[in-house]
Amino acid sequence: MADAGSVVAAPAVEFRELSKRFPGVLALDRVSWTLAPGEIHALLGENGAGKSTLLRILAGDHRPDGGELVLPGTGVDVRTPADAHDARVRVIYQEPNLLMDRSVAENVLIGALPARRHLVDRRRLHELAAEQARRLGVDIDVTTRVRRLGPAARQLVEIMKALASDVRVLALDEPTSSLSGRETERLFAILRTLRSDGVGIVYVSHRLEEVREIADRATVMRDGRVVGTVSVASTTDAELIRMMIGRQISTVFATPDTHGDGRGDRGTPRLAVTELRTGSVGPVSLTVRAGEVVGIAGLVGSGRSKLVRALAGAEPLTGGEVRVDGRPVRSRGPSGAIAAGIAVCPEDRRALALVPDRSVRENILLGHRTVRPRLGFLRVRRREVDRVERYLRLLDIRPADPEARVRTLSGGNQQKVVLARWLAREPSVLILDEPTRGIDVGAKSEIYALIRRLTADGLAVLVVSSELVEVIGLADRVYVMRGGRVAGEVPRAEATEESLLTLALGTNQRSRP
Amino acid sequence: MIPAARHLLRPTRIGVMLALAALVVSLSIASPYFLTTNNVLNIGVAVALVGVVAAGSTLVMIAGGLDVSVGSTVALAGVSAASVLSSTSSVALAIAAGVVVGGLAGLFNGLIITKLNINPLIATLGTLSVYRGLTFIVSDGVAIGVTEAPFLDIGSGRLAGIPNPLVILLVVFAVLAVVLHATDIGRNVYAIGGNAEAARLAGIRVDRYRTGLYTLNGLLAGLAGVVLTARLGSAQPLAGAGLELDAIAAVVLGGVALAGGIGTIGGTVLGVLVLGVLNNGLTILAIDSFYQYVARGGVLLVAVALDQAGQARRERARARSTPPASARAPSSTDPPGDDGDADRTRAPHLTGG
Repeated sequence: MADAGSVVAAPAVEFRELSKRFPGVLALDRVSWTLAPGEIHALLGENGAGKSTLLRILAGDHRPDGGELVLPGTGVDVRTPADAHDARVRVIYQEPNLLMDRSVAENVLIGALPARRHLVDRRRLHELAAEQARRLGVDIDVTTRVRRLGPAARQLVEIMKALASDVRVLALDEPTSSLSGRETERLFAILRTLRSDGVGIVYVSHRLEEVREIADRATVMRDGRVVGTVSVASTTDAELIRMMIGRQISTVFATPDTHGDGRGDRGTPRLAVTELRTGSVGPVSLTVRAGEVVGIAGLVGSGRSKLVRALAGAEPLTGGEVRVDGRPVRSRGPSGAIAAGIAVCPEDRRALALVPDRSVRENILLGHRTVRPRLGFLRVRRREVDRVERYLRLLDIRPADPEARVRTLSGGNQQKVVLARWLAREPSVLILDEPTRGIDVGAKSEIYALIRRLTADGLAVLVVSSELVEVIGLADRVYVMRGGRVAGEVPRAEATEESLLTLALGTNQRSRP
Repeated sequence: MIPAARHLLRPTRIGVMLALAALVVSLSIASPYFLTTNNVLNIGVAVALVGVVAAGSTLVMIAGGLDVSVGSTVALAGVSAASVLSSTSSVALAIAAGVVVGGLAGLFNGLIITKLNINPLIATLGTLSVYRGLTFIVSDGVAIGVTEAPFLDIGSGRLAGIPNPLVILLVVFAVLAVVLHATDIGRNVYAIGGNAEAARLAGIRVDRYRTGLYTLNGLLAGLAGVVLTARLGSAQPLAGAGLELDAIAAVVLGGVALAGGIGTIGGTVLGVLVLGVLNNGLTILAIDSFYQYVARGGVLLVAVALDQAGQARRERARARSTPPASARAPSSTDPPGDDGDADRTRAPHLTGG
């Protein structure tokens, strides 16, 4: 690049031998790579590879223990988030970081609120924010309080906020995880515009098809190190996956053909939902039989998650009935659903399923009445450890230490802890909401294999997922939801991305908020 | 180490332990009287009141709650016990009245917090005033004297040479330590403080637990009120004022995170001891009581700050002694670094774990 004075400028960001150590973990090990201006650069790697740590250093949120972060031409040494901001670096994290009780406009323009004589000029504020929304093609009322928005809209607000001022480097961590297909397309259009304006973009994602669609180059990380930087166009998925996991896998899914044949008393409905209504969702009717994996597909906002919450007893039913093994679930609340034999692994594990500061043992046994035998009302620790160790082995949870704090486990292993909790209760119906969200490729295939093993024992499994490939790969039947109702039921043989998407979108593709 | 012992000592309160050791050493040098059996028992009796209340508050706070009404509850229970005693002359009824009134006060706290969904600080700030008012109404604003010897014995008698209030305190600590560290109830209390929604979805009846814990705290405050009345020989309508702050200080010194989910009974014992030894020492050394307030607050701040520093040092030491991730095993043992929150989520806790 000796072409002095031409458009080939200095890199937007240069990561030089960055190292970062956390208690017990070397999160980054001499990481070096370069982000060019005007490129979309994918950052790939399994959970724990160090991607998020790298973003936090870029944002000035963490200081590296070694190495340098160089932003040529800015003269800024990034030590604090304010420094990064001054250098026109914006990082959008996976979980939105917004003021929940302030309006969209205030969130977007925070730090640069338009003022008139030291008072906020509310009209101007709303005008500016609305203009920003229009520019990015986001359909949103900027006076709404953020708390009243859904996760997808919050993500869009986060993006509006990042782009409210002139940006030189933009980094996004799994930005599409809560976006629908249409919103994702909109985001990609914005990113392409920014790219042509010379912005350097770091794009972190687990989804290879997205990377293929949007990114120019990709840097793959594994165990805190850079494995390599490649051009996306000239690299196959298999090669990328091999770089990410350091070994070859033929396919992520356990062979789908091995299930569905000659399985015990398939046919007895274990979960039967009739005319269920909750809030804006319903009526929904569905059945899951013994030994069957049933999928629920649908776009964001189609009512999937609300349905799951209702089945878990976390939302009251406004109508209809849920039966497990023929017996109606009468008592209300989560404990009633659990007593009836319904187990739910929620989408947001950290917020809804785990107590991060307690041990794996306590998390697995959470909510269990007793582990027998016991001394009167005292727990017998030895028995608990025995019980827990059985599941550590069964699910291959690592580290296999019952006393390890759940906080220190990787995403995949945390999910296995939640699974272990429910399996230990021997439920009739297991409901998995986004079972592999935020989980790396290796752990994903383990969880798929596990789901298959479980149905062999007659368990009924309901898998809710926004990833069509996952639903198609796992389920014997798929219900597709749209606008709070079941839009259709598709048997395995007919389930393709196209058929499911057609049902999910409906014939008249009217947009839903 | 024996698991139970490991539980009682974790998280280690290095700063608080050092503060206690420094206090004991310097006080024994400063005054020959400090380390006598008599004085040690005196300290025990002096901390009995705050200790019983702090024990209950430990459970409430580990579950993520807070109860600042206990001082008033102590007074309300005291005047209730004393008036029942003066009208019936039955010691058993008087004790029952004090404890039950305390329990009802706690139950009421629990119900308004869980059913009306009022923030615990605000709710108990309200009942702090309500219960004090009720105390004045019941007592007509004057102290109620107690003369029945068996009742006075609760405060001044001894069992096997140990003053009764101290015996009661030790029993309360022992029972709650067992409940917290060796029963399902204890595990659920930690889970509720650590993540209430996860606990609820795992089938724990969180609101029932919370109500139960406030009721327990009220029962213990009632017991403390009875003991205090017996020791003083009268029920004072202004008794226990400010007690809630001493109790919370002891619990926090003992390592309970204000956000909940972390802490032990052993830690609270330590916290109560530090405050008790300090008060005793300042009194022995005849230091003006005005300065005692400053010293007490200062010790609280210094001890917690030392703990924070020790915590950070240990974390760094652990980080250095662990091999790099790349030297370790396959993909499913992935370090948690990707979420980058190993440290982020720690930050809000006052005292860490």
